[in-house]
Amino acid sequence: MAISRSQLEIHRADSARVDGILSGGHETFRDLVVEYHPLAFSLAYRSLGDPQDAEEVVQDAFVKIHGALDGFRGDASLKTWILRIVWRLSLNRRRDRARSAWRRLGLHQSAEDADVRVAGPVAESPEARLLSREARQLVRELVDGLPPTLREVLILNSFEELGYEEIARILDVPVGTVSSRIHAARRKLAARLQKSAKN
Amino acid sequence: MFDMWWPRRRRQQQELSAFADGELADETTDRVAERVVFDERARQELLSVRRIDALVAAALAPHPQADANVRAGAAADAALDAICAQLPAPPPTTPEPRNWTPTVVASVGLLVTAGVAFAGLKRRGWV
Repeated sequence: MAISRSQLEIHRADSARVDGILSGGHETFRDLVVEYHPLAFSLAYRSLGDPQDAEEVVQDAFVKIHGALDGFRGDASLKTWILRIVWRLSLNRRRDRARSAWRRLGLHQSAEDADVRVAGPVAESPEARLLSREARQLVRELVDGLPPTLREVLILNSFEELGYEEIARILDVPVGTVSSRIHAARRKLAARLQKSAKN
Repeated sequence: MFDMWWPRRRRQQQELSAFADGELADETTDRVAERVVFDERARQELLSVRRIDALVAAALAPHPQADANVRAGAAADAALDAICAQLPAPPPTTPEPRNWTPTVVASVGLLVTAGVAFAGLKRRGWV
């Protein structure tokens, strides 16, 4: 695959950054965390739906990233590489959570509500303001109910900054598969929304 | 007839989905854009894709928080603390044994010399 000039520049900058961190640059690593934390948190949150879980996953992810930096070969950009690690850890956390008795008994809902209250008043995104809390909860449940392969592409595609190629790299599948899965996910979600609207 | 029509329809829908994401090659983009302009059904499908995307974005996105930078900085510090805690502790440093030998030899030599001199002086009755 041909590499464009901008990709080459990103690759060089990433390599220089990684070298800087590997040679003991704690400040360089701190800058990296500060830069990618919002994106990593957003990804973990979209997958988990719980701010505390998301924060913990991101924390673990950056510790893992630091330990694995010497294995960064630059096949993908640093951003994609970081998001891939965050994504895998989010999936693990999701799996662990599904097994926990706390979740199975449905007690997590009240705890999450409490988390939101403790976090204090927060500004809502413009899109979120258009939807009631119940509607958001319903859409989230419908997304959660999709088959995992469709759910994951839908979540990743909800980031404007991630194109099909980057999603394909994060999930380690061909770009064509990403495209067909996104289409299938949208169709399935639309059908489920219609069905729930009728009920 | 149905078998020939159905895959084409699916391909068109998938193209429309990729078109909504701006992920088509230039020539395909032009073709799909033309279809959206002239085909009412394609237009409705595109609107439906956009609606679904807006709903998903609204339902999944975290609330933007005013202190995002502060939180990112705190997360960075916590990650660095955790990394430092994982580093192997440096081996305990044993104090280097002091090299006593020349000092001891010199002191003993001085004491012996002083003792011999004192004994000689005493024998002669000078002290």
